[in-house]
Formats: sequence, C-alpha cells, structure tokens
Amino acid sequence: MKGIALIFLATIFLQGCNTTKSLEIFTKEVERTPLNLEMPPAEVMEQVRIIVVTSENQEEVFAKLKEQNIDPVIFGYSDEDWELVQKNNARLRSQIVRLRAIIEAYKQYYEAPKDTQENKSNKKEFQPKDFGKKD
Amino acid sequence: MILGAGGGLWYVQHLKAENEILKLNNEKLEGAVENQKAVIEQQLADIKQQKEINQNLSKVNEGLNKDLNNLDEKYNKINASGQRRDVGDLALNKPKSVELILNKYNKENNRCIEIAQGSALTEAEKNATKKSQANSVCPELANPNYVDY
Repeated sequence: MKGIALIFLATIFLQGCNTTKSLEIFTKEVERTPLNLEMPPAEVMEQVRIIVVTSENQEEVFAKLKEQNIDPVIFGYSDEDWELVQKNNARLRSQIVRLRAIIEAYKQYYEAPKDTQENKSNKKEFQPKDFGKKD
Repeated sequence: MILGAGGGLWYVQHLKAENEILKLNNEKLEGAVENQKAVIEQQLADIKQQKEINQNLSKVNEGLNKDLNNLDEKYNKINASGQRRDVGDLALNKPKSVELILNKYNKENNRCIEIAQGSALTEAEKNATKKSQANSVCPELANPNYVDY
C-alpha cells in the first residue's frame, strides 16, 4: 500500500515538472496601399517677346508699338538685371530638376513594382504554420 | 501494481507528447531564423538601393551646379580686347541683333523649363550633336547626344 502511494505521489510530483509550453509566433504584415500619384503634366510656357530699347531707337520702338495697337509702355530690365533674371531662371530650373529627381527616387524606393515584391515575399517570408492541437 | 503500471504508462505517453511539442517548437524557431535572415537580406538590399539613389542624386546635383557655373562664366566672358562681355554695350550698338538673340534665348529657356518638368524630348532634340542644333540654354537637359567642347 505504501509502495502504491509512493508511486502515485512520485507521478504527481513529476507532473509538476511539465513546464514546457508550446511557442506562439505571430507574423502579420499589412502593407500600405501605394499612393501612386501621377506627376503633373508639363506646363507649356508662353512665348514672351523681348524688345531692346535704347536711347536711340526708343522713338522707333514706341511708334511700332502704337502701329500694332499695343500700349506704348515697356517694362524693362537693365543689362545687369537681365543677367540676374537669367541666373534666377537657371536656379529655378535646377530646383525643378532636383525636386523631380528626389520624387522619382522616393517612388523607386517605396513603390517598387508589385510583382517584384510578391516574388520576394513568396521566396523569403516565413509562413507561420498552425501547430495547434488539431494536428 | 496495476495503478503503478498505469501511472508509468501515462507518464511515458506524457513524455512522448512533450517531445512532440519540443519538435514543433524547434521547427517554429527554425522558421523564425529563416524569417530573420530574410529581413536582414531585405535590409541589405535597401541599403544598397539607398546608396545607388544617393549616387544618382549627387550626379544630378553635380551637373546642375556645373550649369550654374557655366552661366556665370558666360556672363563674365572676357572678349578679344580683354574686357568683360557687356550685354548692355552690345545692345546699344546692335539692338536688333541682340533682340533676336534674347528672343531665341527666351524661347530656349521656356523649352528648358518644360523639359525640367518632365516634357518628353523631341527627335530633333535627341539627335542634336552640333552646337547650332543644340539648345544653348540647357544642352545637358535638352540634348543628350550633344557634347560641348
């Protein structure tokens, strides 16, 4: 009787060592929907006519304007300022190119072609398995 | 005795089940390691791509800075008589010619702004190889096949 009781107690005692628990690994990735904004179409610039007015040709220039039914008024730059306007234009143009290049780079980096991403996920992503007690 | 044997059998069964759980846990851990490897691989690819993008942007910036410097040089050009090029002086002497040049310049500048915004190059722009065919304001943007010597 004592022996049986000991075996029973030993079984209960060993049962207490049952500390191994099944691991639970959850992998859930939800991708953001790509924004896919279109670049705006290029603005077509208006062609502006430049008129050079000097103290010598001013009368002729104004007469021509009147002839063409245009108000005889000139909005002008000095030669120095003309150069500065051209430099400003070049800076603006450069800035447009830079910003476009940055937008393109962001698109390339964050909005890679979908099939490539799918291929990658099929190849590399760990597929969690159901290790539950159903098996 | 029977109770003892039953307990022993139950215990063996219990150990088997536990062993199964450990096996499965091991499989899960192997999977997690694979997953981590994939993440590291992706991070390495991202770093490589970032490096490439930065290099490309640096190239774009270099080209643009060169253009701005060229413009400075253009306006500060020294003529044959050793004087700085003066657009005002040229305009005083030849207003009609300068007017034509400035209008052409303005037209080309407009086209440069369109190209900078993403407008597609025309065939003539693509095929321009001579100075007379190239856009004098932004040949680097408008004429990929033109080399300014």
